[in-house]
Amino acid sequence: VTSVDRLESSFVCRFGCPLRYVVSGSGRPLVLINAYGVSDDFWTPLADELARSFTVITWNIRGLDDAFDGREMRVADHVDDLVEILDRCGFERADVVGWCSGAKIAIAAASLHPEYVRAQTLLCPNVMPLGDGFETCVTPLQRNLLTVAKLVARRPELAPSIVDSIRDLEAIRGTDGAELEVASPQVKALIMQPFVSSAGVRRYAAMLLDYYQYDVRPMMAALSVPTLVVAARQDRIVDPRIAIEAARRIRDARLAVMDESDHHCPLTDTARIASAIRAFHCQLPERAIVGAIE
Amino acid sequence: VRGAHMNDDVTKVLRELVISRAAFPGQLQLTDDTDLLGEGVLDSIGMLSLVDDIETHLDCAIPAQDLNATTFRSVRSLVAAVVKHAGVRSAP
Repeated sequence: VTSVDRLESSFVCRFGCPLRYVVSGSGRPLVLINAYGVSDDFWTPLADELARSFTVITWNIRGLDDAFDGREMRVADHVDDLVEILDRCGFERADVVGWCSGAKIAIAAASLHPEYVRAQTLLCPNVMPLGDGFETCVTPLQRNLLTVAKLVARRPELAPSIVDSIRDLEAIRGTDGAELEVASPQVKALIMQPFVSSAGVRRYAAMLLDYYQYDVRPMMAALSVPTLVVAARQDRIVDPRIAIEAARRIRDARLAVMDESDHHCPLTDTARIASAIRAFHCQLPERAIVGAIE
Repeated sequence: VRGAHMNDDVTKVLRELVISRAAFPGQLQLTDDTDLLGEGVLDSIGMLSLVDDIETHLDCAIPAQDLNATTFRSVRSLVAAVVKHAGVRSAP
Protein backbone atom coordinates (compact mmCIF):
# COMPACT_ATOMS: atom_id res chain seq x y z
CA VAL A 1 0.00 0.00 0.00
CA THR A 2 1.44 3.33 -0.96
CA SER A 3 0.42 6.96 -1.03
CA VAL A 4 2.92 7.79 -3.76
CA ASP A 5 1.65 8.12 -7.31
CA ARG A 6 3.56 5.97 -9.76
CA LEU A 7 3.66 6.12 -13.51
CA GLU A 8 4.52 2.78 -15.03
CA SER A 9 5.65 2.75 -18.65
CA SER A 10 7.36 0.41 -21.05
CA PHE A 11 8.79 0.53 -24.53
CA VAL A 12 10.36 -1.98 -26.84
CA CYS A 13 14.04 -1.44 -27.54
CA ARG A 14 17.15 -3.51 -28.15
CA PHE A 15 16.61 -7.27 -28.30
CA GLY A 16 13.02 -6.52 -29.29
CA CYS A 17 11.87 -7.00 -25.70
CA PRO A 18 9.95 -4.57 -23.50
CA LEU A 19 11.84 -2.41 -21.07
CA ARG A 20 9.54 -1.56 -18.18
CA TYR A 21 10.17 1.28 -15.77
CA VAL A 22 8.37 3.20 -13.05
CA VAL A 23 8.64 6.91 -12.24
CA SER A 24 7.43 8.48 -9.00
CA GLY A 25 7.90 11.67 -7.01
CA SER A 26 9.42 14.94 -8.10
CA GLY A 27 12.78 16.64 -7.96
CA ARG A 28 16.20 15.72 -9.26
CA PRO A 29 16.15 12.33 -11.06
CA LEU A 30 17.41 9.38 -9.00
CA VAL A 31 17.60 5.90 -10.53
CA LEU A 32 17.47 2.81 -8.31
CA ILE A 33 19.31 -0.13 -9.88
CA ASN A 34 18.15 -3.49 -8.66
CA ALA A 35 20.11 -6.71 -8.16
CA TYR A 36 19.73 -9.53 -10.64
CA GLY A 37 16.71 -11.72 -10.11
CA VAL A 38 14.99 -9.56 -7.49
CA SER A 39 11.41 -8.41 -7.88
CA ASP A 40 10.80 -4.71 -8.57
CA ASP A 41 8.63 -4.72 -5.47
CA PHE A 42 11.81 -4.84 -3.42
CA TRP A 43 12.28 -1.13 -4.09
CA THR A 44 8.77 0.04 -3.23
CA PRO A 45 9.35 1.22 0.37
CA LEU A 46 12.63 2.97 -0.44
CA ALA A 47 11.29 4.47 -3.68
CA ASP A 48 8.28 5.83 -1.80
CA GLU A 49 10.51 7.34 0.86
CA LEU A 50 12.88 8.92 -1.65
CA ALA A 51 10.07 10.18 -3.88
CA ARG A 52 9.58 12.98 -1.35
CA SER A 53 12.90 14.46 -2.48
CA PHE A 54 13.59 13.03 -5.93
CA THR A 55 12.01 11.90 -9.14
CA VAL A 56 12.64 8.21 -8.54
CA ILE A 57 13.05 5.83 -11.46
CA THR A 58 13.14 2.07 -11.07
CA TRP A 59 13.26 -0.46 -13.84
CA ASN A 60 12.87 -4.13 -14.38
CA ILE A 61 16.31 -5.65 -14.92
CA ARG A 62 15.79 -7.53 -18.14
CA GLY A 63 17.09 -10.91 -19.16
CA LEU A 64 15.21 -13.43 -17.05
CA ASP A 65 11.87 -13.58 -18.80
CA ASP A 66 11.03 -15.94 -21.63
CA ALA A 67 11.51 -13.29 -24.31
CA PHE A 68 15.24 -13.60 -23.68
CA ASP A 69 15.54 -17.31 -24.25
CA GLY A 70 18.73 -17.89 -26.16
CA ARG A 71 19.89 -14.29 -25.68
CA GLU A 72 22.08 -13.08 -22.87
CA MET A 73 21.86 -9.74 -21.12
CA ARG A 74 25.30 -8.70 -19.94
CA VAL A 75 26.31 -5.92 -17.54
CA ALA A 76 26.94 -3.54 -20.44
CA ASP A 77 23.44 -4.25 -21.79
CA HIS A 78 21.89 -3.17 -18.48
CA VAL A 79 23.93 0.03 -18.67
CA ASP A 80 22.45 0.63 -22.13
CA ASP A 81 18.98 0.04 -20.67
CA LEU A 82 19.64 2.72 -18.07
CA VAL A 83 20.68 5.19 -20.75
CA GLU A 84 17.64 4.30 -22.87
CA ILE A 85 15.32 5.03 -19.95
CA LEU A 86 16.97 8.36 -19.14
CA ASP A 87 16.70 9.38 -22.79
CA ARG A 88 13.10 8.25 -22.90
CA CYS A 89 12.29 10.29 -19.79
CA GLY A 90 14.16 13.30 -21.10
CA PHE A 91 16.68 13.40 -18.23
CA GLU A 92 20.09 14.59 -19.31
CA ARG A 93 21.68 13.42 -16.07
CA ALA A 94 20.64 11.46 -13.03
CA ASP A 95 21.90 10.30 -9.69
CA VAL A 96 22.03 6.52 -9.39
CA VAL A 97 21.80 4.04 -6.55
CA GLY A 98 23.04 0.51 -7.22
CA TRP A 99 22.33 -2.25 -4.76
CA CYS A 100 24.19 -5.59 -4.68
CA SER A 101 24.72 -6.63 -8.30
CA GLY A 102 23.14 -3.35 -9.35
CA ALA A 103 26.33 -1.69 -8.10
CA LYS A 104 28.39 -2.90 -11.05
CA ILE A 105 25.78 -1.49 -13.41
CA ALA A 106 26.05 1.85 -11.59
CA ILE A 107 29.84 1.85 -11.74
CA ALA A 108 29.86 0.86 -15.40
CA ALA A 109 27.30 3.55 -16.22
CA ALA A 110 29.36 6.21 -14.43
CA SER A 111 32.46 5.00 -16.22
CA LEU A 112 31.09 4.45 -19.74
CA HIS A 113 28.59 7.33 -19.71
CA PRO A 114 29.84 9.88 -17.17
CA GLU A 115 27.75 12.55 -18.87
CA TYR A 116 24.62 10.76 -17.64
CA VAL A 117 25.64 10.15 -14.02
CA ARG A 118 25.90 13.08 -11.63
CA ALA A 119 26.59 11.05 -8.48
CA GLN A 120 26.13 7.52 -7.21
CA THR A 121 25.48 5.51 -4.10
CA LEU A 122 26.59 1.89 -3.95
CA LEU A 123 24.60 -0.14 -1.41
CA CYS A 124 26.18 -3.42 -0.26
CA PRO A 125 28.03 -3.51 -3.58
CA ASN A 126 29.02 -6.86 -4.99
CA VAL A 127 32.06 -5.78 -6.98
CA MET A 128 34.02 -9.01 -6.93
CA PRO A 129 36.55 -9.85 -8.25
CA LEU A 130 38.85 -7.65 -6.21
CA GLY A 131 42.02 -9.68 -6.66
CA ASP A 132 44.46 -11.34 -4.28
CA GLY A 133 43.70 -11.10 -0.61
CA PHE A 134 39.95 -10.98 -1.01
CA GLU A 135 39.26 -14.70 -1.42
CA THR A 136 38.01 -14.88 2.15
CA CYS A 137 35.38 -12.25 1.37
CA VAL A 138 33.39 -14.71 -0.71
CA THR A 139 30.41 -15.74 1.42
CA PRO A 140 29.05 -19.31 1.45
CA LEU A 141 26.00 -18.19 -0.51
CA GLN A 142 28.08 -16.49 -3.21
CA ARG A 143 30.39 -19.47 -3.51
CA ASN A 144 27.53 -21.93 -3.72
CA LEU A 145 25.51 -19.82 -6.15
CA LEU A 146 28.45 -19.44 -8.49
CA THR A 147 29.14 -23.16 -8.35
CA VAL A 148 25.54 -23.90 -9.26
CA ALA A 149 25.66 -21.34 -12.09
CA LYS A 150 28.70 -23.09 -13.55
CA LEU A 151 27.02 -26.45 -13.08
CA VAL A 152 23.93 -25.26 -14.97
CA ALA A 153 26.10 -23.84 -17.75
CA ARG A 154 27.84 -27.21 -18.07
CA ARG A 155 24.77 -29.38 -17.54
CA PRO A 156 21.68 -27.37 -18.56
CA GLU A 157 19.58 -30.53 -18.38
CA LEU A 158 19.73 -30.18 -14.57
CA ALA A 159 17.73 -26.95 -14.57
CA PRO A 160 14.28 -28.59 -14.18
CA SER A 161 15.58 -30.66 -11.26
CA ILE A 162 16.93 -27.54 -9.63
CA VAL A 163 13.48 -25.95 -9.78
CA ASP A 164 11.95 -29.13 -8.36
CA SER A 165 14.52 -29.49 -5.60
CA ILE A 166 13.96 -25.96 -4.38
CA ARG A 167 10.24 -26.68 -4.31
CA ASP A 168 10.95 -29.93 -2.40
CA LEU A 169 12.98 -28.07 0.12
CA GLU A 170 10.22 -25.57 0.60
CA ALA A 171 7.92 -28.45 1.48
CA ILE A 172 10.39 -29.96 3.92
CA ARG A 173 11.39 -26.83 5.72
CA GLY A 174 8.47 -24.53 5.19
CA THR A 175 10.93 -22.08 3.73
CA ASP A 176 12.14 -21.41 0.27
CA GLY A 177 14.94 -20.52 -1.97
CA ALA A 178 18.52 -19.57 -2.23
CA GLU A 179 18.99 -17.32 0.74
CA LEU A 180 17.30 -19.53 3.27
CA GLU A 181 19.35 -18.70 6.28
CA VAL A 182 19.99 -15.07 5.58
CA ALA A 183 16.67 -13.59 4.49
CA SER A 184 13.36 -12.95 6.18
CA PRO A 185 10.15 -14.44 4.73
CA GLN A 186 9.28 -10.95 3.50
CA VAL A 187 12.49 -10.82 1.49
CA LYS A 188 12.42 -14.42 0.31
CA ALA A 189 9.19 -13.82 -1.53
CA LEU A 190 10.96 -11.17 -3.62
CA ILE A 191 14.11 -13.08 -4.56
CA MET A 192 12.68 -16.27 -6.01
CA GLN A 193 11.99 -15.05 -9.52
CA PRO A 194 14.90 -16.90 -11.17
CA PHE A 195 13.99 -20.24 -9.59
CA VAL A 196 10.41 -20.75 -10.73
CA SER A 197 11.20 -22.13 -14.18
CA SER A 198 14.01 -24.15 -15.67
CA ALA A 199 14.50 -21.57 -18.42
CA GLY A 200 14.76 -18.88 -15.76
CA VAL A 201 17.41 -20.89 -13.92
CA ARG A 202 19.46 -21.22 -17.11
CA ARG A 203 19.22 -17.51 -17.92
CA TYR A 204 20.00 -16.49 -14.34
CA ALA A 205 23.06 -18.76 -14.33
CA ALA A 206 24.34 -17.17 -17.55
CA MET A 207 23.78 -13.67 -16.17
CA LEU A 208 25.60 -14.50 -12.93
CA LEU A 209 28.60 -15.94 -14.73
CA ASP A 210 28.87 -12.83 -16.87
CA TYR A 211 28.47 -10.65 -13.78
CA TYR A 212 31.30 -12.29 -11.85
CA GLN A 213 33.59 -12.06 -14.88
CA TYR A 214 32.88 -8.38 -15.38
CA ASP A 215 35.83 -6.65 -13.75
CA VAL A 216 35.13 -3.11 -12.53
CA ARG A 217 38.48 -2.59 -10.80
CA PRO A 218 39.86 -0.35 -13.58
CA MET A 219 36.58 1.56 -13.66
CA MET A 220 36.58 2.14 -9.90
CA ALA A 221 40.15 3.42 -10.06
CA ALA A 222 39.22 5.98 -12.71
CA LEU A 223 35.77 7.10 -11.58
CA SER A 224 35.17 10.82 -11.42
CA VAL A 225 31.63 11.00 -10.06
CA PRO A 226 30.95 11.66 -6.37
CA THR A 227 30.31 8.33 -4.69
CA LEU A 228 28.83 7.17 -1.42
CA VAL A 229 29.42 3.53 -0.48
CA VAL A 230 27.21 1.91 2.14
CA ALA A 231 28.43 -1.21 3.94
CA ALA A 232 26.00 -3.22 6.06
CA ARG A 233 27.80 -4.79 8.99
CA GLN A 234 25.25 -7.64 9.29
CA ASP A 235 25.43 -8.54 5.59
CA ARG A 236 25.92 -12.30 5.18
CA ILE A 237 25.38 -12.34 1.43
CA VAL A 238 27.98 -9.79 0.30
CA ASP A 239 30.79 -9.39 2.81
CA PRO A 240 30.85 -5.76 4.05
CA ARG A 241 34.62 -5.72 3.61
CA ILE A 242 33.95 -5.60 -0.14
CA ALA A 243 32.07 -2.33 0.24
CA ILE A 244 34.82 -0.90 2.42
CA GLU A 245 37.41 -1.86 -0.18
CA ALA A 246 35.30 -0.39 -2.99
CA ALA A 247 35.19 2.91 -1.10
CA ARG A 248 38.96 2.81 -0.74
CA ARG A 249 39.44 2.27 -4.47
CA ILE A 250 37.10 5.02 -5.66
CA ARG A 251 38.64 8.45 -5.47
CA ASP A 252 37.18 10.61 -2.69
CA ALA A 253 34.37 8.14 -2.06
CA ARG A 254 32.50 8.49 1.19
CA LEU A 255 31.89 5.39 3.25
CA ALA A 256 28.94 4.81 5.57
CA VAL A 257 29.01 1.65 7.69
CA MET A 258 25.60 0.66 9.02
CA ASP A 259 26.20 -1.47 12.11
CA GLU A 260 22.67 -2.84 12.41
CA SER A 261 21.81 -3.24 8.73
CA ASP A 262 21.86 -6.42 6.67
CA HIS A 263 22.13 -7.11 2.97
CA HIS A 264 18.50 -6.31 2.29
CA CYS A 265 18.69 -2.94 4.03
CA PRO A 266 16.84 -1.02 1.29
CA LEU A 267 13.83 -3.06 2.37
CA THR A 268 14.61 -3.92 5.99
CA ASP A 269 16.17 -0.63 7.08
CA THR A 270 14.47 1.74 4.68
CA ALA A 271 14.43 4.92 6.75
CA ARG A 272 18.13 4.80 7.58
CA ILE A 273 19.14 4.05 3.98
CA ALA A 274 16.87 6.76 2.60
CA SER A 275 18.34 9.22 5.07
CA ALA A 276 21.91 8.38 4.01
CA ILE A 277 21.06 8.69 0.32
CA ARG A 278 19.22 11.95 0.82
CA ALA A 279 22.00 13.45 2.95
CA PHE A 280 24.63 12.62 0.35
CA HIS A 281 22.84 13.42 -2.89
CA CYS A 282 21.00 16.52 -1.74
CA GLN A 283 24.12 18.33 -0.56
CA LEU A 284 25.93 17.98 -3.89
CA PRO A 285 26.00 20.95 -6.25
CA GLU A 286 24.14 20.67 -9.53
CA ARG A 287 27.32 19.92 -11.49
CA ALA A 288 29.14 17.86 -8.94
CA ILE A 289 32.71 16.78 -9.53
CA VAL A 290 34.99 14.72 -7.36
CA GLY A 291 36.99 16.86 -5.01
CA ALA A 292 34.23 19.42 -4.66
CA ILE A 293 32.48 17.62 -1.79
CA GLU A 294 32.87 19.29 1.55
CA VAL B 1 35.86 -55.72 1.73
CA ARG B 2 36.80 -53.43 -1.16
CA GLY B 3 33.23 -52.13 -1.19
CA ALA B 4 33.41 -51.27 2.49
CA HIS B 5 36.67 -49.40 1.98
CA MET B 6 35.17 -47.53 -0.93
CA ASN B 7 32.19 -46.51 1.19
CA ASP B 8 34.51 -45.28 3.94
CA ASP B 9 36.52 -43.21 1.51
CA VAL B 10 33.43 -41.75 -0.14
CA THR B 11 31.92 -40.99 3.27
CA LYS B 12 35.04 -39.15 4.36
CA VAL B 13 35.10 -37.03 1.21
CA LEU B 14 31.39 -36.30 1.35
CA ARG B 15 31.55 -35.21 4.98
CA GLU B 16 34.28 -32.73 4.08
CA LEU B 17 32.30 -31.48 1.09
CA VAL B 18 29.12 -31.00 3.12
CA ILE B 19 31.02 -29.03 5.76
CA SER B 20 32.59 -26.87 3.06
CA ARG B 21 29.15 -26.04 1.64
CA ALA B 22 27.35 -25.52 4.93
CA ALA B 23 25.81 -22.14 5.57
CA PHE B 24 27.32 -22.07 9.06
CA PRO B 25 30.18 -24.61 9.13
CA GLY B 26 31.51 -23.48 12.49
CA GLN B 27 28.29 -24.48 14.25
CA LEU B 28 28.06 -27.88 12.60
CA GLN B 29 28.02 -31.24 14.42
CA LEU B 30 27.75 -33.63 11.53
CA THR B 31 27.03 -37.35 11.66
CA ASP B 32 26.30 -39.65 8.74
CA ASP B 33 22.60 -39.42 9.56
CA THR B 34 22.29 -35.72 10.27
CA ASP B 35 19.26 -34.42 8.38
CA LEU B 36 21.09 -32.00 6.09
CA LEU B 37 17.98 -30.25 4.88
CA GLY B 38 15.67 -30.49 7.87
CA GLU B 39 18.34 -29.27 10.28
CA GLY B 40 19.39 -26.44 8.02
CA VAL B 41 22.91 -27.68 7.35
CA LEU B 42 22.48 -26.99 3.65
CA ASP B 43 20.20 -24.62 1.85
CA SER B 44 19.00 -25.57 -1.60
CA ILE B 45 21.85 -23.79 -3.37
CA GLY B 46 24.39 -25.40 -1.05
CA MET B 47 22.80 -28.76 -1.74
CA LEU B 48 22.97 -28.25 -5.49
CA SER B 49 26.55 -27.06 -5.38
CA LEU B 50 27.42 -30.45 -3.89
CA VAL B 51 26.51 -31.97 -7.25
CA ASP B 52 29.41 -30.13 -8.80
CA ASP B 53 31.72 -31.11 -5.92
CA ILE B 54 30.78 -34.77 -6.26
CA GLU B 55 31.48 -34.67 -9.97
CA THR B 56 34.85 -33.02 -9.40
CA HIS B 57 36.08 -34.96 -6.38
CA LEU B 58 34.41 -38.34 -6.80
CA ASP B 59 34.16 -38.62 -10.58
CA CYS B 60 30.44 -39.22 -10.38
CA ALA B 61 27.74 -37.29 -12.22
CA ILE B 62 24.51 -37.44 -10.22
CA PRO B 63 21.78 -37.74 -12.89
CA ALA B 64 18.96 -35.23 -13.05
CA GLN B 65 16.35 -37.70 -11.80
CA ASP B 66 18.29 -38.19 -8.56
CA LEU B 67 18.56 -34.50 -7.79
CA ASN B 68 16.01 -34.54 -5.02
CA ALA B 69 15.60 -34.24 -1.30
CA THR B 70 15.86 -38.01 -0.80
CA THR B 71 19.37 -38.11 -2.26
CA PHE B 72 20.54 -35.12 -0.27
CA ARG B 73 18.87 -36.04 3.00
CA SER B 74 22.08 -37.12 4.75
CA VAL B 75 25.70 -38.04 4.21
CA ARG B 76 24.58 -41.70 4.21
CA SER B 77 22.06 -41.16 1.41
CA LEU B 78 24.65 -39.21 -0.56
CA VAL B 79 27.10 -42.07 -0.21
CA ALA B 80 24.47 -44.45 -1.55
CA ALA B 81 23.88 -42.22 -4.58
CA VAL B 82 27.59 -41.89 -5.30
CA VAL B 83 28.13 -45.63 -5.04
CA LYS B 84 25.12 -46.22 -7.30
CA HIS B 85 26.38 -43.86 -9.98
CA ALA B 86 30.13 -44.32 -9.53
CA GLY B 87 31.97 -43.79 -12.80
CA VAL B 88 29.03 -42.04 -14.46
CA ARG B 89 30.24 -38.90 -16.17
CA SER B 90 28.33 -35.96 -17.54
CA ALA B 91 28.50 -35.21 -21.23
CA PRO B 92 31.51 -33.00 -22.05
